[in-house]
Amino acid sequence: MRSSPPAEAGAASATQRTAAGGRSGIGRLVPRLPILGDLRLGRRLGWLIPVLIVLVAAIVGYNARAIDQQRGSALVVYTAARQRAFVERYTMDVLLVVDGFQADPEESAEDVREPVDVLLDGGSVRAPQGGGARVEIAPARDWRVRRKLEQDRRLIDELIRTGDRLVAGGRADPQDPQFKANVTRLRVLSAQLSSVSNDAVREITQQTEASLSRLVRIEIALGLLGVLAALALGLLLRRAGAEQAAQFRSLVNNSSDLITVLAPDGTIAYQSPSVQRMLGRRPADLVGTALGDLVHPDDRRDVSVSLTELVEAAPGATANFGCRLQHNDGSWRHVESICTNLADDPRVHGLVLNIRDVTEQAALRRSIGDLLHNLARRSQGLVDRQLELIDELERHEVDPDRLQELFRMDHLATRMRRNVENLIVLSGVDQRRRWSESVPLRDVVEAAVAEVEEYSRVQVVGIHDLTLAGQAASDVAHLLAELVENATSFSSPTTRVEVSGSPTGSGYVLEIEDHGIGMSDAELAEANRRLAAPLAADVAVSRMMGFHVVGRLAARHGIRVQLRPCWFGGVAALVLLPAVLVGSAGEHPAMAPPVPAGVMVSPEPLLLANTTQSGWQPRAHLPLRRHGAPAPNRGGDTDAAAEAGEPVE
Amino acid sequence: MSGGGADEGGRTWSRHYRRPYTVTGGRTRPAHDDLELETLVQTVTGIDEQLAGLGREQRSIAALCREATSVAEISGRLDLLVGVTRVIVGDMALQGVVVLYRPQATVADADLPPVELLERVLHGLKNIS
Repeated sequence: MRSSPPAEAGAASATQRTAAGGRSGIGRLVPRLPILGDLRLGRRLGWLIPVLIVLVAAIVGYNARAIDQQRGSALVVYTAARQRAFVERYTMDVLLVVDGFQADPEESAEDVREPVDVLLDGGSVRAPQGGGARVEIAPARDWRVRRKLEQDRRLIDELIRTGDRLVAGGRADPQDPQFKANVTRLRVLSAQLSSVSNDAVREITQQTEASLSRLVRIEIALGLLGVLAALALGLLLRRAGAEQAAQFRSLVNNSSDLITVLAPDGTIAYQSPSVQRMLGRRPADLVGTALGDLVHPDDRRDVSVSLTELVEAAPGATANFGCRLQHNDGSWRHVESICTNLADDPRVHGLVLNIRDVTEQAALRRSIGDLLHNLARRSQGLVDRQLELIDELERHEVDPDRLQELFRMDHLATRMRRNVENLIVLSGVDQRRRWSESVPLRDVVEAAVAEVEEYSRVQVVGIHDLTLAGQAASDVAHLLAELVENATSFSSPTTRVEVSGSPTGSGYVLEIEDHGIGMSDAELAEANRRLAAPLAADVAVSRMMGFHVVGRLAARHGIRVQLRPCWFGGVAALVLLPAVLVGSAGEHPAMAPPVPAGVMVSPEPLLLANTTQSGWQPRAHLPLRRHGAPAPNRGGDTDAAAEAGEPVE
Repeated sequence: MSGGGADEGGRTWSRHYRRPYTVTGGRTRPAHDDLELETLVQTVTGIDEQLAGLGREQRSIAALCREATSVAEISGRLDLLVGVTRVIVGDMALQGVVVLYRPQATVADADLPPVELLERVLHGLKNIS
């Protein structure tokens, strides 16, 4: 089993190699797919892995056996070789005793017998490395070796018998022929034993070498098989990985959507080939260039804001934006993009954009917008004429009751005009600039109040004597009207809504404050998040008209809108008019009011830095805010009592 | 209601978009019953320091009526509806910012010929022409 971890490690590294092999960004995306989890691949590779395991186990087993056998053989050879030395020592001992010297042939005889007994029958001998240790030796199995050893044993028996006879004879006369014959016999036997021992050693050595070389051959064969199996596994893995990568790439290439990987510096790190179809450009030409170069100049700021926010957001966050990209022939394609932040993924290290061509939808939307615009323009003409007529009637009316009726008609027609002009805004068709000269800001605020259902609850205080650029006047009035309408709808009918203004370093801030029960922090955060989010126009436009109108109007003039809690519980909507829209008055000295006490230039920025995009989420869509029915349109007479002594200004 | 840019129709933006009903909060009935077109209005002397607390139209009227001015003239000079002017002037009178003078009638009401007689005279004049 020791073999499986290397096999797995090999498989894993093969996976990584295959996956990392892709040079493109998408190639680097491939490992995100669970390659080894793929069923097809698992089936194909299933048989190969056990084969590898068996092979490696066999190699290891054979190797161990070869080492063991080699050690045993060395011991046998050593033991057999020692036999010769023992025989010679025994012969010497016998001759010494016979010659009358001190020696111990009995002990030597034991030494002579031991090796051959052990080699034939098994047993233990003193270890060659000494120290008194003993090692086991298995009985010899090969018949040729056994024959030599048995011959050896017979000769030893013969030798020891002869030796015994000599020793038993005691110190003898060297001239005794019997003694002489025994000595000669002893010497011959000793020489014979040496020769036979030599043969046995040679035999044993040959056998050992033969079996070792057999083992080595098997090992080499197994090793080769293992290498071949590993190669096959690697190739299969590589091919499977390449197949998957190719499948993924073909998905990417044949999709009509663009896949773009943006490096952190905004340049294109990878571009899918579908760009050829969508924008008529080659991917290779785009890689390394900035995405911003393709984006329509009017859209660049929005795109850059979206991407910057995404880069700063948590890894894995997504963002959507729409923009126009330039086709190679100079035309513009409308696209929608879903963007994912994979900057922390070491295999991507950038933003992945999925870009869809919506030019056809945009064209459809434009034609619907044109239709809407034409219808609204007709209504606008009619309403304008109606208002002119009402103006005439009001001018000559002295009867309070009839004037009251005229005012109601006037109010309805004014609100109708606001709706119609909002429709024109929503149609997306750039309206012809009707008003070129600047307008007193105060008039704009009052016009906004006139467009609100419950106008009598609205109090305008401390608007500075400034003017607003004429082309923005109607838009700002409608924008304010939406915010004021929202404030009156979601506060008690008995409370006032206050519109005030104060200059700031970057323009002029109008504040619309209601005395409702306010919104929770979560609701405010949600509303402001939507305010900051780019608008996606859809069928919900009619339902969320306020949202879209404020968003469009604000975006058109670079106005910023934000909701804030009031310390007394209501909600304040802040509208920052940029300095370019605001001018100083002075041409209306008769109307110039003194700046009311308490209104002063605020040194702190009134809008938080994170309000980057104007937009609007009407609080009508935040259900918690609905604490009571919106106030009904109250009659002028009741208002008259409530308003006595408090002229709206 | 001056100001605003001139445009194609000769009307200013402000005249186009500001509506008269907002000036009085939709009220059309003056607080004073006897406010006629010919009623003279005069700002109380020494009221200037209170102007800060007044609305825009009120300030204009107070400035205009340093000399006694009729309601009709105020309406014309400030381009305000007669009905609206009457409501504002009535409020100002209640606040004590202006005083109202009813012009002395030259003939007592009782001495006027009856309405029926005048109508008959009118009818006869129409027949002659």
